Amino acid sequence: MVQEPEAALETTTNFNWWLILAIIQFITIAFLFYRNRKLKLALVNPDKFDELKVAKTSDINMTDLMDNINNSRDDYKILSRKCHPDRFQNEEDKIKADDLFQEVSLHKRNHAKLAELKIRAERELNIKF
Amino acid sequence: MWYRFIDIADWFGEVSERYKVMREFNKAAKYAFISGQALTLLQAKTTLGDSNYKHSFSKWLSGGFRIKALSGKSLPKNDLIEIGRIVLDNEPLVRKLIALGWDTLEVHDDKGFQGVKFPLKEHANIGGFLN
Repeated sequence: MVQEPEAALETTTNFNWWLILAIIQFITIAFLFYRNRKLKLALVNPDKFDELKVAKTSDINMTDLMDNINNSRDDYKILSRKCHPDRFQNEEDKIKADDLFQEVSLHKRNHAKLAELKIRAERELNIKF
Repeated sequence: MWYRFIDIADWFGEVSERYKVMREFNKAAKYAFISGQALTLLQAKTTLGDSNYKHSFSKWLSGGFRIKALSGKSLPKNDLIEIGRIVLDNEPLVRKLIALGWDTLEVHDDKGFQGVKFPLKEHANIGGFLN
């Protein structure tokens, strides 16, 4: 009768060295990113930290932005043509037109402001659009 | 130890805020195109950006804010520059873009690779924001 050898009772632990290496690499990379962020924040003017927070979470009206992109150019063309001071003979009207023309040039990309200036031009200079 | 959790929460907050900016821009552009107000459908997306325009808050590999014409009327170069100037004139928007890690504003047409780009930090009056 052949006796089968007894199974060894010792337990073997299989260490996955690659997993441990990957974890160490991950922790190192996370630490370097964190340190890089801290160094960057150190470059910011400390008085501006609150402004930075406010700037990050401020609400932007994108509808107004789209209005500016799509409509401001045409409005500016019409207003700059109709409110040019050279179109007016009367000195008083010329001064008003000059003032209006400067405002139009200053806000040439702001659709809401150009709409206000349009109303002002209709009222002060009797211009029909 | 707690401030580290705040830092991590802050980082996730920034990521969600970036997506919110792009989502709102794309939504407004879509409605303007559908209503007939805009002849060209614009889309905002994040790109690599230009490494020469980097600043203290620039995000790694995602510093570009690109506005691209998706469909409709094609945009000549003057229109691309004009769109860029309108965005740069909006100071709260530029501050927000800089604070959230964008450093380059790009405006592209849908044909080929033609486009213009602007360094955000040089075109905003941000008075001492960045050292």
